[in-house]
Amino acid sequence: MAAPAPRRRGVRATRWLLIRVASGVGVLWAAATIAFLLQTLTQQSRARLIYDQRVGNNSIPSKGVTAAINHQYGFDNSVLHQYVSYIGGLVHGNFGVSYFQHVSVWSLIIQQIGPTLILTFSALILAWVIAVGLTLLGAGRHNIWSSAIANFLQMLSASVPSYWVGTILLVIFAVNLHIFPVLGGNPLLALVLPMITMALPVSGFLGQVIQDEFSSALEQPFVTSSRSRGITDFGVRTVHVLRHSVLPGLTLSGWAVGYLFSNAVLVEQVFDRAGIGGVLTKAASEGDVPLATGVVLLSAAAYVIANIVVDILYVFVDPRLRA
Amino acid sequence: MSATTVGYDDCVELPFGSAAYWKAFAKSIPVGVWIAIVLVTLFVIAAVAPGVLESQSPAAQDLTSSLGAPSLSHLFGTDQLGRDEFSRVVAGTGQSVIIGLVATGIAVVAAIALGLAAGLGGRWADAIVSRLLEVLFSFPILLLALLILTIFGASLSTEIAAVAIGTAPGYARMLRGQLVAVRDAGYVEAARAVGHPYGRIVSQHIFPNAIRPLVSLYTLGIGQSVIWASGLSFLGVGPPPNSPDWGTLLYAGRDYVSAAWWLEVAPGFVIVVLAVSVTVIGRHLQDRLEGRVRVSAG
Repeated sequence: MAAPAPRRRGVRATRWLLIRVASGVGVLWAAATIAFLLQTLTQQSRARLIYDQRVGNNSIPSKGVTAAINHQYGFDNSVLHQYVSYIGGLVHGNFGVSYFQHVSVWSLIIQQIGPTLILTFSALILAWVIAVGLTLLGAGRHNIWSSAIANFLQMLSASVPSYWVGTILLVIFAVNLHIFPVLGGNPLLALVLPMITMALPVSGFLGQVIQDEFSSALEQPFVTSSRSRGITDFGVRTVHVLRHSVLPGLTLSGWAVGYLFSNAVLVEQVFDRAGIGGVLTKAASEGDVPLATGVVLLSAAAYVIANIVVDILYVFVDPRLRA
Repeated sequence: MSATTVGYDDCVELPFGSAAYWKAFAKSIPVGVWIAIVLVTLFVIAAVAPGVLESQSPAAQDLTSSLGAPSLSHLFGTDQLGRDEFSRVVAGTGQSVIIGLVATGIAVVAAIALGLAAGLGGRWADAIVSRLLEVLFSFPILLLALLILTIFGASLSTEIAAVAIGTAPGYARMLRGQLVAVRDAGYVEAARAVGHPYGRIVSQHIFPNAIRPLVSLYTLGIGQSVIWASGLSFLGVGPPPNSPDWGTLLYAGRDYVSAAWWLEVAPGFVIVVLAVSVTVIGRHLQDRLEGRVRVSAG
């Protein structure tokens, strides 16, 4: 079969990307629907919840007051009407109004999402550095130290809670050794411990898949042929074998974004950092449903976008997919 | 056949239940797994009869020795009221272990239902369940659990349900993959060719083979459930603060990280020991079920 003409190939790539984005939008629409359905399960008690917060005690609201609250928040409309206006609002970036802070959910999240994104992505990058570093040093060689570290990281990722690792790092390096600030301080310095806490377990997952692929790629004929052409061992590992082994790591990174968000909520609390962790924890303890839903939907959006980016990167790393 | 390797035929199958069988069985379990079994036994004792392990009453206060560092008389130190942290951790074992067992149980049962529908329910059911799982995967586990706690209010049962809902999609996807692999396996095709009815093929061939990994999955899942549930309690949105479990000890210890780190590190340490133990046992079960460990003489 002849290779397709370059123009055709461009059209096909655009169409692939459009389909991929459309399916992402579909996932988000379904996610919003699930979130909406969960919210309607508390239909009866929502007016009561808002009333309790307004008056600050547990007195029973009169029928008129309940009706007024129901009208204000649109709870007196049919479920279908509420659903359509909810999804319609989301399309325009309207995530509703916080029950307790009486400002738009979007503005509350936007104020706090920056530190969380910085923490999440710096941790992901550090995890990659650790995983690739260990792989280049260890895989396929009999290096006791690097495989011991890799095993340790894998154990860490499977059975050690991130808040515990964070607490121990905090106690050792901030409280006792004073290397890092316990609270506040230089923002870059304050990022180090939480970033390491979040990166370690992810580097365990990543290191495992990258090393497995790396070891099997080392057995491939192209490695022998590269070596026979006189390329150094380091060159073979970095240029040829690594390219093969990052592919499963990329797939895992898309998934890791969700895992990192989960841990960010905990780690932010350990280190008393600003971020969506504080917003969500406060919303959960108060019963602020629109705010919690907004945070969860935005993190789902981040997950979906991250996975689309992963798919695009995949094509860049693996030229076989470009045909 | 070379003289140094022991082939399949060289293994003598021992009669099940005989003394020689049990001896060989015990020998086939690695030391690390034995240690894990001993540790899990200790957790069971702490859960069933906490009085056996408690060095003193977990409620006994002694304000003269509040926030004391770990010592021989107080292994995990003392809290702000001078209560023995070790005894409090032992007292919290029962509820924490139950949270892990029940949450994982609910998640696995839900996963079996979803996995069966997807793996054996035909093309449409598979498409619908697979899409649903994809959507659920877009919610980070802890964030979905927090949303459920926000909507239904913090309580022990909501915490268990939240952890179960958060972890179930992962198990469901694994089980679906397993069912599809078994469904298309050679022995199922053979049974079909011989003319066995479909129902019997499912109940005798597909289901037992696909379900087997769930034993190790459940064991591995207990550690994960305990970790996620304790995370929710750590945030202060789980069961009420006076509830006796490790998560609430962690929440209480947060105020004393600078002054008394052991109040935070000790309950976390116990969670790690439990999670590592069940993970080691779960991995070993996995090896056994996949036939990598055999009981044989020699």
